[in-house]
Amino acid sequence: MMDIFNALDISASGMFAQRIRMNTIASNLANYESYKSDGTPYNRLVPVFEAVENPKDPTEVYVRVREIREIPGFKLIYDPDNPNADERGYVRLPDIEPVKEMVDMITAVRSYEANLKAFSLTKEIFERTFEAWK
Amino acid sequence: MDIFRDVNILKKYINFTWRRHKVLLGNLANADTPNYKRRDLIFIVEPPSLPLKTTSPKHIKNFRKFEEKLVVFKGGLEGNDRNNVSIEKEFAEIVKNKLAYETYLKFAMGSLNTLNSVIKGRAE
Repeated sequence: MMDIFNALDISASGMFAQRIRMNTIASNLANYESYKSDGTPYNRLVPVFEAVENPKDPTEVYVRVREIREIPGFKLIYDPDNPNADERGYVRLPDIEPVKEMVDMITAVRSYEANLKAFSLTKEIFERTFEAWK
Repeated sequence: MDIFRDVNILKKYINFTWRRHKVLLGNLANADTPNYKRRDLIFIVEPPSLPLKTTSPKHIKNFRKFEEKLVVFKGGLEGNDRNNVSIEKEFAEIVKNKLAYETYLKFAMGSLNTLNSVIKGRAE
């Protein structure tokens, strides 16, 4: 049982990944109508998760954020009064659906909480074990 | 007479439940990882295949095989991301496994306390 901290690290990796996901969702919602510095619409950010096995012990599987992927795309809205409109009166806006982002956010929070709860259960196991050493 | 027999048997189970706890934590951490498949640790206890008769302590003893095995679950209810982890199920397993761990630990401590009382010649 010398690997007691690895168990906490597994839960921590899960919480970290979900927090990164929350960050990308917050960015997406904040940039709902933003443009990048080159004038193109903001691209939706999506974290890509990956399972990482401890090479020394295959029973320990961590999670890692492999990359933050930019999903290219935009939606065309007819709005001739907008200063960003092209000659035909269409505006390119980021392809972000707030409802989708909110649903994603709820899932992320639930996963985060589950990992947090598992973290405290691991801590309780340690406490029981330490009590046994008395 | 092996006075630590009970503890040695329980030790295997305590180690097993601890390792299983880590596997289940991994499942929970990877609940949103695409293509991740649920893993679990199982143990296989096999009774001795041949009843061996021992007449000398040097003979090979009958032993119960205790083996841990990491299994990967294919199928089940998969989401769009080809992931078959259910957070609720993992959580139930984690809690059950934790209770099992604490039970085995209690048994082991009880057994050691008994030995302690025997050594001291009085109950604590």
